[in-house]
Amino acid sequence: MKEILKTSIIVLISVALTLAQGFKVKASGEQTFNFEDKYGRNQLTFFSSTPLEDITGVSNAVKGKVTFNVADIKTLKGSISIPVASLKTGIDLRDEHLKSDNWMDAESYPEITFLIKSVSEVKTEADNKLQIKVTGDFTTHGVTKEIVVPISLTYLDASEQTKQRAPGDLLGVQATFNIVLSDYDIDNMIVGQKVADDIEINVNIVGSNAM
Amino acid sequence: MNNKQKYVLVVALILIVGALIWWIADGGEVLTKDGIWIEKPISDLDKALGQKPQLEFKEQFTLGLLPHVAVFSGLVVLISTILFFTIKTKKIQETK
Repeated sequence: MKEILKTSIIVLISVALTLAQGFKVKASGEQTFNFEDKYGRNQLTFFSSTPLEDITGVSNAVKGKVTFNVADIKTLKGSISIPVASLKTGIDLRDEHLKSDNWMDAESYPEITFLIKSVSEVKTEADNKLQIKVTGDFTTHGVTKEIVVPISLTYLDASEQTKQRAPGDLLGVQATFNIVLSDYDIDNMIVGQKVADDIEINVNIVGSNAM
Repeated sequence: MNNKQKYVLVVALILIVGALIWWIADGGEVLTKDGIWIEKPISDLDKALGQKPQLEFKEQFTLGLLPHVAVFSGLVVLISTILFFTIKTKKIQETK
């Protein structure tokens, strides 16, 4: 009986390890990556397109941490956020409007956050590159909605090259997704005319496990 | 229509067409812009990390239909209309 139980446990563990999809890199175990970059090299961009005007904006104040087991990306947890005050569109007056209570209301809702809840559809592109779909809570303007974001992850073990950017192993995150402003109660006369309701968001960030 | 009135109309037309040509040559944007977003060159390390080029704001004036071309054309029409009728009135008075 003991032998059957032991064999079953070994089989189950083997199956779990086989099914687990993660990075095949030098690092192992649980790793935490910090995305706060004092040089402002991490960037989130947003894009709005209407017949009247195209608007591009950026934030270089991305912060947040993610933790996962290198061998199993489905263990990914953490959050990424940006201060609303850090959003810039290239026109100071428009930036003021963007942060006002008619729009993002930076005073009442100072942060835009994405909280990771689960990972699905893991595709291995290379030993250190994964394509995943992350389900998480996106919060802006005081409203939280669950969204699914396709994300590309690249893991680089620490080397002389990676030291140019930051100490430790590096995790590159690239994601493109859309949000609908009216879903987050950002809905005024300008939405649909000079500002699209559907906003494209691009995330280009690199985190280090030694910060 | 006397020669001065014709001259006013031709100058007004040249100014408006000139503004429209400048606007089209500048990209035909609906709204005037103070600058553009350009892609920064990406390093080999960032490429290896799967990153896309970052955006950087560069100050560059782009003439838009609104408000500059529209306001300029409106002013040209207004001034030329005033001149057109002023010249006409003067001529009638001179004839009398």
